[in-house]
Amino acid sequence: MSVSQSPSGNYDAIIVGGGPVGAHVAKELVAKNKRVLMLEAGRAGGLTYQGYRSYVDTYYTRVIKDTNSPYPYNPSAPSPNDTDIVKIVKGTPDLIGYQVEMGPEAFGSTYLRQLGGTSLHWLGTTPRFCPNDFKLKTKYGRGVDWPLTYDELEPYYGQAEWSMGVSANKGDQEMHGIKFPRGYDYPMERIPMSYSDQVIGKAVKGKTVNFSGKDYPVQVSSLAQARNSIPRKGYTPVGAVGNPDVGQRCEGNGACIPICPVQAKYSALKTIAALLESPYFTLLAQAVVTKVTLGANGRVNGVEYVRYETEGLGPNATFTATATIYVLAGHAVENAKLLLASNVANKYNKEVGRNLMDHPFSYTWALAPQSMGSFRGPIQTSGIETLRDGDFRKDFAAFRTDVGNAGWDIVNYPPNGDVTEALGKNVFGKKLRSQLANTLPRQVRIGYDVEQLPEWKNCVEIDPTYKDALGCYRPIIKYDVSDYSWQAMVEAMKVSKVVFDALGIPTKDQHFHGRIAGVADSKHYTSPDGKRHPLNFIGAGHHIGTHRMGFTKSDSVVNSDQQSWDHDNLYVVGCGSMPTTGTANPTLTAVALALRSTKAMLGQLR
Amino acid sequence: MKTTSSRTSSLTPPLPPPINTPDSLKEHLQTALMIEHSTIPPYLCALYSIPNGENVTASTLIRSVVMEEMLHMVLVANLLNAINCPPKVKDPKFIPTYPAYLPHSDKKFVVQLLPFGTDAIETFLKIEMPAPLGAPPQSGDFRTIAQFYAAIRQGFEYLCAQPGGEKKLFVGSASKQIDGSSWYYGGGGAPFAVDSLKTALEAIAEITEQGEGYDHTLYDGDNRFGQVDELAHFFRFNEIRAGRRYQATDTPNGYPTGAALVVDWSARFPMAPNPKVSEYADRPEIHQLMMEFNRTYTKLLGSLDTAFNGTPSELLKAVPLMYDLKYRAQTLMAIPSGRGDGTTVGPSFEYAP
Amino acid sequence: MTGFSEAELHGTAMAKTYFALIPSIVGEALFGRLLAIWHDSWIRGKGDEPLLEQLVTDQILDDPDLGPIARNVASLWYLGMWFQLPAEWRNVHGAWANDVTFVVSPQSYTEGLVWKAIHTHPPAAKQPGYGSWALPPVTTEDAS
Repeated sequence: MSVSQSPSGNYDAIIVGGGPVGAHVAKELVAKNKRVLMLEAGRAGGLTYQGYRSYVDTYYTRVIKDTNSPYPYNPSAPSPNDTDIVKIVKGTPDLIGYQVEMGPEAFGSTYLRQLGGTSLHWLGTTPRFCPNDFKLKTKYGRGVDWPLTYDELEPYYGQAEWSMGVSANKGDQEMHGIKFPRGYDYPMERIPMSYSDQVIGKAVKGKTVNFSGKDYPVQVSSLAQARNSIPRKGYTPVGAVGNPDVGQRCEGNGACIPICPVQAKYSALKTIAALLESPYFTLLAQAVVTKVTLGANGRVNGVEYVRYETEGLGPNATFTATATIYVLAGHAVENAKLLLASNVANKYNKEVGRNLMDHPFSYTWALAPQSMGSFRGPIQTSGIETLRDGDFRKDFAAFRTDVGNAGWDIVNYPPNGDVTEALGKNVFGKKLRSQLANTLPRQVRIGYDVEQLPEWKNCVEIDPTYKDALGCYRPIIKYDVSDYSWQAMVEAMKVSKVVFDALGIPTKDQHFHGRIAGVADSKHYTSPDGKRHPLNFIGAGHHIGTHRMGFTKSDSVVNSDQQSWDHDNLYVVGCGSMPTTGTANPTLTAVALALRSTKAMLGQLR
Repeated sequence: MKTTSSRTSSLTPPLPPPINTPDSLKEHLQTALMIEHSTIPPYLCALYSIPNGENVTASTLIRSVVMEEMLHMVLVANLLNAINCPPKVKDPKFIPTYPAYLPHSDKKFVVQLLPFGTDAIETFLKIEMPAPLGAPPQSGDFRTIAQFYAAIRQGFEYLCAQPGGEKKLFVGSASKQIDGSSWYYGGGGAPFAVDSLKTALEAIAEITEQGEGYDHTLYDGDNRFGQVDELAHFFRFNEIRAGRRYQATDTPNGYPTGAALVVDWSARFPMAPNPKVSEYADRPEIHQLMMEFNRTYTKLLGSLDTAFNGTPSELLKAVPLMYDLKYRAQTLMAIPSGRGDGTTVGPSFEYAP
Repeated sequence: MTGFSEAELHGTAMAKTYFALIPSIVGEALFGRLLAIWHDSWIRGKGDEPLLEQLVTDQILDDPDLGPIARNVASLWYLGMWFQLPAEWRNVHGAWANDVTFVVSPQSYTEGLVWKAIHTHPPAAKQPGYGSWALPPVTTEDAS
């Protein structure tokens, strides 16, 4: 094992980025005795149990407990933060923080540059994509098709689920043509559905919504989740890094985002910690790759990286590392940024950085007449999955419905808002206590991960005007949401209406848009018929596109092996390779794609 | 396997051991269940008197012992169920009134509910004291817990040596056995089903070795079961007392000579010894919190009772109760007792259905 | 002020910290005045909830000097957080260096009473254990 200071010698592969995708590429290559160097821009503090616990303590003391709040601020490898995201005023870029946002819509998603990557703060939801997600163009005349099918990816889904430790029951996941091989099941039993899931599930039983003239059931089902549960035969749950007795089961800490304090939720730290046992694996943290360099033959012949000692201060030093193959696994935005900065992978087209997508996450909320037991358990344990596919996708986007367990979490950041608001109205003492007890557990929030189509104008760009403390480019984001997704957000409210009505919630306590305590910010959509639809949405943190895979070298950056069309020893992996978003939280699929790509990599390294 | 250790061999034709009937074995196993349980409230008091973030290593060590004591309770319940005797847990008589002697011990020392401190650790060392080399099995008035288990082991061996004995003895229902599927503390091993002399002796070995050490070593011998060897309980407590870790060259008879283990004996809530709800009859706010603790504790015992008597999955439901118990105990630890001596209240572990 | 008993407040082990913290932010004079008036209201309103409420509202919460401090005391207990006092208060009393919005300590967060009030636990702390979220919630009636 080695956490190297200055690596020497030749590597079979250099992997840029220590997140779940890079970690799984490394895992497969190291398993075949290939020498792997992983370059991670952030720090590796989470590899010790105490280091990870220090993140938890940091989270406790942060005033704003947003997605990156537990993790140390790092000006030498900055990350976008929720607090940097503001409403874009036309013509004025949002320069706050790391990301430069040009609009017209704010790109409301964050990621984390730190060993473990965004899997440190991800929710851990791991549904598979639906078969039709891979052929959107053929099936519904929208977007593009993927250069591979569900069936081709299927074995790697299973491998990813066992490697990450996904808890689910196969029967719950068999829908929209999602199939499992005979004899397969997830490594752990499904995470128990929360009390509120059960109440909502019962209430909506038999209810439907009508989309494009067809009825679809509104049905609550258990979600596949990469957090530890009761193991099935042949699987041993992986606990906390450095303290494996901890985190053997999800303990209901209710803080999946931004940090699972017991590490019952999968993070790439687990995979990387295991890799560090191997002599074939070398990890170099605090190493920011700045350039991919090409040889005269057009193949990649090295990566340049800057090592910093102290965040924002240096001293910094520049190095070059070489290997047979190069794998960029730094995140959709960072991969695109690095390709653009290196002026590579653009021989046949200008697709690099283009087609940036997310799942716009629209949300609605209500106050149930009875306690829903909110603020207990993992942030999400169930969803309404029935609208992830259907003929309506010819007209508007599909979506995955998030039935939250944490009250009005993203609406008004409870309970702080509730407490200060009550105190401001001179509510105190026993009245304060009972007012909180009688309202917060009744909070319900239904959200929608809405599919988005690839669009050229939505992109990551770079400009020498905008650089970070280390002199690296800051990503410039141009982002908009098209009618296809807006309409779905409007249609999705029908689902909320069904749920809220089924729960017996009076209309005055049902909220489909608006401002609460000055936090939630309402947007609006004007439909082709001129009607104005106010609604709220933020980003889902699902950066997709930017180096998409395709059928030919003219339509895409990489092929179905995530291999660059231009440079045969360069692989660009992760959610950036996905041609469309589907409705599933993308990490599982990104890991499955990466596992599949390692076959091609190993073929090249033979 | 140490089923035929020197302690049980004999040169003269053997007399029946003290435990020589199934009924006697059942009675002694029920006592064993009480013994295992009686150590848990004192350990928990020491553990929960340590404020979060203080004495981290010491509290980790104590916690690991507590978890293994719970494992021992489960194993004893499996032994009882294996011979078709319902384990009794939810019973006012099951809980000792502290200060108390270990049930059926030789009454050489009392066990108390004390905060973390040298007094508490000294008592824990007495509880987990290894049996001296060659010490005889003792079915009553035992010196060490290991000797008491040695007598139980003899009982199993004796009864199984009778014609058809093993078959007649292990008649319990397999569905009552608790195995690893309802248990998830990663360290210290997992429970396993008992259905034969072999598995019974393994269960007894696991219990005694985790307490006093395997075969007169510092360690519990768990590596034989594919787990990591850990220090036996006695030696974990000895590390805390000595403020040093054991290292490879240390022996059971000497002191630990490894790295320093930083212990701040003052970093604790000074709970008054052996609290009782009745002492706070005139302090309704405290009285109520103590009662709520005791009700949770009794509910936990009820949950264990259910788990041990035919519903193993109930053990999973005991986990939230154990956490709840902890947070309630920590609250009580921080409340001034009002005695004017700087002490705090603490949990009383009394039966409250 | 909080609706929790004195024993429950002590049970958080935060009392000493807050007692030292508040005068370090707003000065001893104002904090002393707040305590004296609170104590006086407590004595006069003992056993008479509406009267106590009236006294506290009139003499403390509606007082421009004491009201914001009292609300912040409640925030400390409920959320473990101090909120920067309102601009109107700072305009009159000057800017105290320590008067910024902050979470007092990891413990103050985990001991926030709001979580007890709503029958759950602070996210990322005091974990309730596997599967607990599937059980029906404790409601105020059960808890009393």
